[in-house]
Amino acid sequence: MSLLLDFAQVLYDSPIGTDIRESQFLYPLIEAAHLLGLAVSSGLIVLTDLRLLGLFMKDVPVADILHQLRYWVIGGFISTFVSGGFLFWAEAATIIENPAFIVKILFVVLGCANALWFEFKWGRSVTQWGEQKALPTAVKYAGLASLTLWTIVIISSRFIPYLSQNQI
Amino acid sequence: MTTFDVLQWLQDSTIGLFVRKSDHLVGAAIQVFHIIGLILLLTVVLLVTLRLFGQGLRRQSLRDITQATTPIFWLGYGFTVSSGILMFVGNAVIYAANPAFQYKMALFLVASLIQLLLFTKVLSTEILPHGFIKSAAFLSFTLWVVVGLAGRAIGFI
Repeated sequence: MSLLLDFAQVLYDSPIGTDIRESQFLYPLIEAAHLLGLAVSSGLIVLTDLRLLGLFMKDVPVADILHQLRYWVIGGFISTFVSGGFLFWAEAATIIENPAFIVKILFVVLGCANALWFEFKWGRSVTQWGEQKALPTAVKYAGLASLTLWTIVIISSRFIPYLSQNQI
Repeated sequence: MTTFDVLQWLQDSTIGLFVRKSDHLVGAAIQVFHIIGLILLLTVVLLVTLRLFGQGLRRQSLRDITQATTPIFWLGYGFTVSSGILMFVGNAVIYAANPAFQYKMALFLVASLIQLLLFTKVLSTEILPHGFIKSAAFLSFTLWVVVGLAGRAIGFI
């Protein structure tokens, strides 16, 4: 654990970390990229989850939704991940002990695990089950899990500044 | 009664006092609704704009996409507006004086108008030239992003 804290301190003290933290425009701009990436990735993931739950575009085959949105979801996720990495870089030493941040990272990992499990177990064979009127129960659970996990990620993210030792 | 009196009255109303005096976690919860609403709203505008540019759900018709996403747009809109009103009422005097907030509200009104006129009526009937609708949709998406950025800037100014 102390190794992790040390690493966070090194990032925090590094020139890039310090520059982002002390710049008047850089930090808000990276936050903006984070939000925009979020709207693309999380937003489209929510729509995909709603489709898996049968609450959105029910008449469209699941494969159509998955395949057509795939690159946008991945692109948005990368943008969110990279901008999030820079935000972490700037705040590493303080944020790493923030309970909201720890919960967030835990649920990001769970969300990714769920997405990967869905991709390998179901996503690859979507053309075989995606056009049925009633989708397999496990698929619905994956959609519900994704919706819940990413919602918790967003909620815990917003709580980060409120649970911070030194208010950002 | 001046504008200042109205703002003062707003933030000293029961709701205003409730928002201002409650725990900071209540404030965080209101913000969560604000951001989830914004994400839903932005995603819908993005999906429609992408479709107009031949991207995203291109195998589905524009009409199908607008029909399926309109309820989600208004759900997101409802989330952001109601949570936004709560935040504003809690600190009306400070917000009203914040330049970022003033820009945000002006842009928000324009974006809302475009949404109301374009996305609900024109898009589904396709009576306007495609190029015009495309640029309008792109403008609308950009506007909503800028509204979000201006909102974030409130805290920095």
